[in-house]
Amino acid sequence: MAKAFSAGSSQYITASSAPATAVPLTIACWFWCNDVTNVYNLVSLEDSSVNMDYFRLSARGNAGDVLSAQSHDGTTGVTANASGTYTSNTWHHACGVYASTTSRQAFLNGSGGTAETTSNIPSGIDSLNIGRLNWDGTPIQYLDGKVAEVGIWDVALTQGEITSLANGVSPQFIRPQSLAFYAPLVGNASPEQDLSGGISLTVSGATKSEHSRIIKPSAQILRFPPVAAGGGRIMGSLAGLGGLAGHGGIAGPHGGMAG
Amino acid sequence: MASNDSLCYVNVLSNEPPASNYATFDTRNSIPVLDFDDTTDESAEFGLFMPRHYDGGGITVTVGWMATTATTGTISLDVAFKSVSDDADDLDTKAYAAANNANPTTASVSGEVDYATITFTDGADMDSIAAGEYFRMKVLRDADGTTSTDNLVGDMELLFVEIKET
Repeated sequence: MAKAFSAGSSQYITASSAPATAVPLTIACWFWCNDVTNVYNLVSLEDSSVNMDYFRLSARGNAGDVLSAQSHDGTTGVTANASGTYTSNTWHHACGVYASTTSRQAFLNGSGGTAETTSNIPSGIDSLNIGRLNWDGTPIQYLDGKVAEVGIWDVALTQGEITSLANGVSPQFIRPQSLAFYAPLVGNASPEQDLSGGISLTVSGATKSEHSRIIKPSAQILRFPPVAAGGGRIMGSLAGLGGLAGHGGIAGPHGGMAG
Repeated sequence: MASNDSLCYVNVLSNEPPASNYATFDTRNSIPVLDFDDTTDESAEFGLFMPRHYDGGGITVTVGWMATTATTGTISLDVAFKSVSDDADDLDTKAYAAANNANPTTASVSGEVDYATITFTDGADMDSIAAGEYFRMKVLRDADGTTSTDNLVGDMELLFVEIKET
């Protein structure tokens, strides 16, 4: 399940810390817009004071229905648009790669637009917002739609990695050593949790809704060897979420356990 | 391999969702489940391996499921298999064999798990999956009740699937 946001009710999710503060970084999520008319903030890393510094992904229904990766240094904003357009009431994958102070690129469903190369250096990044932008201290661009599977990396992901994300692969599979933030936004928890960096996300009004298509790290794979004559024998292997791996066994004719 | 012994166990985190009309990930009391709509036919798919000690008989699939909220009603539940033989079956094109169906009634208390079983005879019914072969399994809620009555209101939550030799 994802989180659904109502713009009319000013719903959002926020955190008072930022998992990444400077380039290089990558922001990705699945998003669903209820219309292609308005501009919506999807995910943003921001300066929470009355400044306008940020890195963000926005769905801009007021600008040709494009997905944009934007940054703002407090004075000037720069925008990179993905190729293609998004539609309403459908899940799309959004990704913004902020490779350097002179390069940012947006990807819609894995398809990248032209990199924007103006020098732009946001500073004071200390918070995160999902579903709204804290513009100069005033929240704007509340989302009317849904967001799920938010990932933030402190590196610039490659085209191949972004393609994998757009194909439904969980952020947990993609360069996990650099995954600074991962919030699946399943929708049951409040606060929602960042499963990678441990940031607690305050949920303001956003509600549970149907999740995007996602391929999760596999959980248990159990094997059942044959029963030996005169006794039982069960062996198991466990490969778990988040890199857990182990072996457990129960062996022996009378249920003796060997781990 | 003796009759009634387990062959495979599937946790919902192993889902490899189809491109469309897929069951969606959810949790219930922090336990992973897959949600299946009550209006649109949705499915989940799993890649599995038939143990080499499988004796070639029929199999019984046990589907552990709950209703999100409902305490009455039935679901139309389909399970189908696709064998993938060595140098023979094209994953780009091969279709699933015909599904078998069950029509289980939800547990009487929301949160209780119903164990629904569907049997397959050996051979074509289970797409002739052989020991030592990779195969795929599809679990589908036939929400529009094509095969049997599906009148359960709200989502069906898939918890696990077990395959045993019948």
